[in-house]
Amino acid sequence: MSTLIHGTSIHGAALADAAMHDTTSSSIASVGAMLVREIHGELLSAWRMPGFVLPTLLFPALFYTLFALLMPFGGGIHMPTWLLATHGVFGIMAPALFGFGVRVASERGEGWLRLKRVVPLPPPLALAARCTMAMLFALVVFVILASLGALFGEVRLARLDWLLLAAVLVVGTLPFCALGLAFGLWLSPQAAPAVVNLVYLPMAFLSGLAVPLAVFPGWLQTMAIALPPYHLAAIALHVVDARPSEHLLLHAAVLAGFTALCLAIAALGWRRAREG
Amino acid sequence: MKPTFLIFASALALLLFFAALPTPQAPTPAGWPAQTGNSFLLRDVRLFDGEQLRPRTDLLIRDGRIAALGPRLSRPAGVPEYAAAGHTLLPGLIDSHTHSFGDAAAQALRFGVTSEIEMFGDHRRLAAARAQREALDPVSGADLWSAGTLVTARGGHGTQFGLAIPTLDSAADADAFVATRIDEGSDFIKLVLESGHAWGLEQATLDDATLAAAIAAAQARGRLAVVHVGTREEARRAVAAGADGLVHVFADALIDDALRDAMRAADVFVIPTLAVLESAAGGEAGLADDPRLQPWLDPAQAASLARRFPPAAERAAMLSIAQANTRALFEAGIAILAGSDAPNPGTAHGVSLHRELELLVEAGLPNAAALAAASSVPAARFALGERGRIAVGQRADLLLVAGDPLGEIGDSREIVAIWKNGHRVERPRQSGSDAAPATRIDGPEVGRFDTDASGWEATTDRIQGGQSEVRLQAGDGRLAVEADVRAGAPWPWAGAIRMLGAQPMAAVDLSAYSALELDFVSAEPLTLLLFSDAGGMPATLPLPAQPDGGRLRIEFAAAAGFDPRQARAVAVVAGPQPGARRFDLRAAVLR
Repeated sequence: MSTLIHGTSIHGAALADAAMHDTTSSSIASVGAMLVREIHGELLSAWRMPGFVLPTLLFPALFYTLFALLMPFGGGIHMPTWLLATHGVFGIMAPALFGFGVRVASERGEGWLRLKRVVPLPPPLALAARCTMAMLFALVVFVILASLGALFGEVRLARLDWLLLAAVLVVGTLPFCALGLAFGLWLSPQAAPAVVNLVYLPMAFLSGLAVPLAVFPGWLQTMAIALPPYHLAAIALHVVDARPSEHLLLHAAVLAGFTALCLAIAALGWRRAREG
Repeated sequence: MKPTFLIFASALALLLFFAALPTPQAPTPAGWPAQTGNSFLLRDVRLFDGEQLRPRTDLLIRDGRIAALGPRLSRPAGVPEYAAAGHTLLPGLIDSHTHSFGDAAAQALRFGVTSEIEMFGDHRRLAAARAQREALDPVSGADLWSAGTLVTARGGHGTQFGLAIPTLDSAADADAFVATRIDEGSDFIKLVLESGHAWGLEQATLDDATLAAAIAAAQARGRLAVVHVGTREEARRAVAAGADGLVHVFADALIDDALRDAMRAADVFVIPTLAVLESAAGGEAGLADDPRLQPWLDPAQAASLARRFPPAAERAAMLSIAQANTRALFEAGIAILAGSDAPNPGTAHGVSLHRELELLVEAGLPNAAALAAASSVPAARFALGERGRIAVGQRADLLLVAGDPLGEIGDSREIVAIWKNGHRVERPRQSGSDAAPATRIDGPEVGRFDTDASGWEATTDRIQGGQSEVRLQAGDGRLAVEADVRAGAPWPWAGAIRMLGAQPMAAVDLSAYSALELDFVSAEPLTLLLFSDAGGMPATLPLPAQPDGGRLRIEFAAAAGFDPRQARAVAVVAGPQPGARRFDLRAAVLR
């Protein structure tokens, strides 16, 4: 089995383990146990693939150090606080998009989905495990950026605002997980990395994550409304009091709608992959 | 590795991480350290910018001006930071109708009034006033704009205050008259249209042609022409003559549609001065009893609030008519400016503007409109420049109050901090002087000149920039006064003064006495001045010529404007006619 699935042998071990011990039970406890094992497996695989983990975590940190701490601009605005919100959004997008988009596509190419079909791990559970991973990544990104901002950028937030910002970034990974899943189920393993990269960076930039939108021409600013990271960043900026928003529910609704749309597209892709 | 252990360890680490994240450390107002310099950063304040509310923002002041306004401002190195959550920041208030002599500027500033617009006063202070308001120095008082000498008819309203002023008697003189006022430094021109009817008087006042000519002369020179009116008919005449604004609202009758439409068409603004009308109507503002204000009233302010207009039943309805008119004007879109007319009886600088805000709200203005009437609106109408609004580039004249005056207008009295030109205004309590005042009188004898001057001192108009001189010599039962009255001051004088309190102009309670008995020898009439209000106008009483001397009894009851409970000094002077005069004071006794 381990030879079949290359570097991710641990998955197979966990799955086989689960399958052997618990072939019939559908109790909540065993579902939970399966989820924990699946996450455990994901963590171990992440640990053994630093080539994915380190760049994903270090890139936002480097970005933040450069633009928020070393050369902050922006007139009177406290840039370390502002960019903690927007670079935070930027940072949580990558693990969600790449973890789903690129990995699902490549796993599909490797026949991994076919294997999943023969083991009794329900697909939603595998997705839940991977979502949890993306959210853990988001938490780590937050911890790194918040540490940098607090230590070197004089970022000061009320206790509740720190927690809210972390929560917004963690929960905010879900729309990007959904987008990544849709990509992963529709794109070929060869196309996926290129396409995800092509979407990720421009979308982040045009949503005002790297530099505030105010520096863009008006029509570009208007266009940002169509981009999901813009709405997540709007909520995050509100939480840190950098740009109070009167439309919090609207931003949240846009993100929820976007998530639902991506999941629908992903479901179609899943059906196609099974039939094909 | 056991997953449960891993989960617990991570959760604990995360908990510790969140506990260690730094929170804002800026001191709250109670813990604010003394501020040096005129740069600071205010965090998380509710801000009324003169026109509208921002629920929460930061504000950066640099070198006396507003440098940035918005959420999460960065703090430049060396700039102190203050947390002000739950407090409301207002533009420094503007009182659009005052008479600012004596300690007015400091009295006003102590209550958050950072600019006063004076409707009549001594024009010789105006160069200094202009210098103050152009600089960003730390100052001890409000900035001043002034009409200087008002424009009134011979014997008209404005001539009764003991200040000898020129009067305008014909339309042909109007242009030269106004030009002289502007040369003297008047920032705008104030004209008086007052028959005295509302006060049961018959006074001379400007006729329509003279009024129109003077207004045109002011406007031709780019100055506002504002008009004092007492009645609706006078308001109608003032508007017809082209007035830019009315400095009182008329309180004899309700406004009619024709006048309202004419005022709207001409964009005439109105300073209702409800605070003084309340007092004139016999109302009680209760300012001296408000624990949020009382400790900061100095004796002069307390005395001024305690003074009363002579009672008159026919004025009782004044305030309600004035408020109804104010509401009608506001609803018609006519600009309303807040003015107190301090320090008229029942009003005082600074405090009475807070009462005016309340009376405007009571009249029907929304709180924001009342606050705008004391900030952005007068700043725009009188072109006060960089004042009246909180915006980048504006001067940092600011008032921080606890609570929310946009919800409860009385919260404007909950003063936490005042800044003038970005400098924090020291605001010591004044109520220590409530204790019984030390006196310099140890009995009814306030003038026995057997051996010395018995506490009498020289006094001349030099304190008002005049040229007069005086020499005193005491002994042998008389105080010989050699006065040389010279032109220069608006009301030239020279003579002798006897302070009653232990400190100069401190108040003494003379209610045990009802009169002052004077024995003096003078070939010419003299003037007795009775001071009861520091910085205020003394009561002036003519003393007849007594070439052979003799005792003269002056009843305090006959001295209008003198309050024996707050007596400060008595003076016997020659003037205002220039010339050398000699007189002897032989005795002064309280009866």
